Amino acid sequence: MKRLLTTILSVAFCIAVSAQGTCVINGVIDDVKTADGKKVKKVYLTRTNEYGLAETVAEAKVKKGKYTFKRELAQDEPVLMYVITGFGEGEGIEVFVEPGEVAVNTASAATPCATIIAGTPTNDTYSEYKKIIGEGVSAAEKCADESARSKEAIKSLSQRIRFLIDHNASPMTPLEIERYLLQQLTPSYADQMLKSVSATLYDHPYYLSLRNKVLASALKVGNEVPDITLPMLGGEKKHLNDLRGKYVVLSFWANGCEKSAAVLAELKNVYNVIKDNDEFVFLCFALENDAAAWKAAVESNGTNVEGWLNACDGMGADSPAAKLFGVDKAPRIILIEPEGRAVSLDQEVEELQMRIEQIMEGDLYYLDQEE
Amino acid sequence: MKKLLLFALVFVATVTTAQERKFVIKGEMTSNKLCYSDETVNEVKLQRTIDGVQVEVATAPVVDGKFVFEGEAPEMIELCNITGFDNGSIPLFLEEGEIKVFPFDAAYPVAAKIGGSPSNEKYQEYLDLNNKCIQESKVRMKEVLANIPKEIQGNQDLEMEFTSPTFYVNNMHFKVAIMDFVYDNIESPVTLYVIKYAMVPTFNSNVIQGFLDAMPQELHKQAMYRELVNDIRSANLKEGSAAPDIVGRTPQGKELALSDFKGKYVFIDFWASWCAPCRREIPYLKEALAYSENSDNLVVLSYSIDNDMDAWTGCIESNGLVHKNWIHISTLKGWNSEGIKLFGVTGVPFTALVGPDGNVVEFNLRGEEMVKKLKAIVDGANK
Repeated sequence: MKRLLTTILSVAFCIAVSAQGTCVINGVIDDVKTADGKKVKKVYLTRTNEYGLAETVAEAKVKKGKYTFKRELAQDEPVLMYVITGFGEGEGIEVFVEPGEVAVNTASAATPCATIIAGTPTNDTYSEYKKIIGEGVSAAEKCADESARSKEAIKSLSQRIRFLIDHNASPMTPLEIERYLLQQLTPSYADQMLKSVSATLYDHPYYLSLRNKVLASALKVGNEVPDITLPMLGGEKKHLNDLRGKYVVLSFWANGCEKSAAVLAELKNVYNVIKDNDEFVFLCFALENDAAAWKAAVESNGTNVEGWLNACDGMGADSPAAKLFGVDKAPRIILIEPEGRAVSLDQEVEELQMRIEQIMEGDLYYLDQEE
Repeated sequence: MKKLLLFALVFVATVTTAQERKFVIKGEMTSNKLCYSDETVNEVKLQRTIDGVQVEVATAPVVDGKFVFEGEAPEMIELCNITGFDNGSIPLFLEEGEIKVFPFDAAYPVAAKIGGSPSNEKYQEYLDLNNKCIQESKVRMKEVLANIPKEIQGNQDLEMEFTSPTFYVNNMHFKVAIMDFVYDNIESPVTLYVIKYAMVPTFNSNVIQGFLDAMPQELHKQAMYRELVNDIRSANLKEGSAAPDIVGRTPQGKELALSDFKGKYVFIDFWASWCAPCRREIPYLKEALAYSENSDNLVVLSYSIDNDMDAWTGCIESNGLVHKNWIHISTLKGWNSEGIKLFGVTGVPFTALVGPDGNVVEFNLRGEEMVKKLKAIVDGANK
């Protein structure tokens, strides 16, 4: 009996899981000739992963200028931007994948960026936004000189910001703030723009990514540090924010770098002193491309010990984690307090030992450092 | 007869010019009672900014609640204040023409409406825009408060989370409205002030540069235009980029700017009489300057961050810091000197070598290395 109930419940749950629905993308290409004269025979649905790399998730044949993509969306799956490619290098159609039917109408495969997209809420909003961008471009084209163009740029920027704050619950908004607006704002207004995003998006990857970028641009002692993804030695994936509640000694290191190895050896002495104190976590982040080389180095460095976390995203020096922390040179030791604020962003091991001792004695000196 | 006519014409022309250069400020109070006491305002003062210092330049009696200031108008608009109250002052733009301070309550001078002359009318438009934004913000917030979902009503944290984005949306709407004001009034000198105080805190220097690029040529002579250009140069300062202009007075009281030496190499030496490491550089500076005896393509611009005139000039005299190519300037404002803020100087001595084109060649040259470089510059000219 109990079993039956569980089954019924889980069936009901399964239905609920798939309840978000399907995204159907109906593409039409009037003229299938691309800019370099080839005919588009196949198109690809790609997305950018969290490391900024493009991944193809589906492909479709173009028959008589038509193609279709279908994607089932899980219950919790966020609305993300995908790109339809196959039109030649660097060309693509940006489309949001969300429940419903999306009509993607391309007049010419030579100019896929001029595609008209409609049918679902985020795509409709994004189309409206692109219209504003288009108006700005054509206003600039009509200008006689640089001064007039600069003036139209003011209008275009204000229109775009107005649109984004008026659509602060759309998933396109945090994405566009990060891609376009962030570089125009001072750090304090980048923060205001982040905070203008609707609370309904607080768990959305685009909001979290934007938040990280804003934190990174304001990175200093006393401020909250960005969250970074931690692919662990054992294969599981953690986040830096999972370690909240503890002091984190985060060290970025590079494999094959003598200084890194020397610093890790020194760090191990610090670790040995406090390894029984569970207020502290040691976390090593390797800037390494090769997983096997990383694993071997962890062994030879002797940091594969209990209570010491080892992470590496396989991106080497291009690791977004390192970029978020402004790490341009390894090794770098960063001390983070339990609420996620930086106590120090570049710490010598000797100094670190002193600071850890101070903290263990209850001297929270760093709290006074905030300006 | 012809001569007389000519004479008369010249006379008329002169009078007209003189009239055009004049300003008149006419003000009136609805009540002359102060805010924090029962006393009344019997005189008001006109406060202008001269060399970065606020100075009361004129006093006017208040008769029947009315006052008048008259004087020669500055060539460019200038933000000034009417003071003499106990609860703030009246900001207005000084410019030629008749400026009206509409009847106001002396207890709240900040709220006084200004009009009459073009810039003050424009500034009033800007203030009206601010008020309009505040009203719109209230409406937006009211709507959000009325739509708090039932399930979070009463839970303060969740309610906060729900309403707080609107607070920031309102802030950004305000900024966007100001951008539209900038767009619509790109030819007004008041817009320069709007950019300085409302846009600079919001946008990075590339965007601010775009605002300036959109402005007509005739605004380039405005002091605030030059200040904004300087701020941008300061924000982007690095070797190879345009140096911000720095201004000071010589011990003789003559105003000089870095830009006055365009076409020459300028070795800027930020220093102070009390700074021992600065004084240790003196022999090197003298050596380089002695070498430049017969050339005029190089000056040493020593910018002192002293506070005290006597300490500064005394140090110049007793150490013989004198040479035809050695210029001394200071604003006598210590660590508040504009020059060190613009160059991001956090400690003295600090030096910057600026090329004839006004771009920074190199930072922090000192000692032998500096002498070598400056001698090479002199040699380059004498070849």
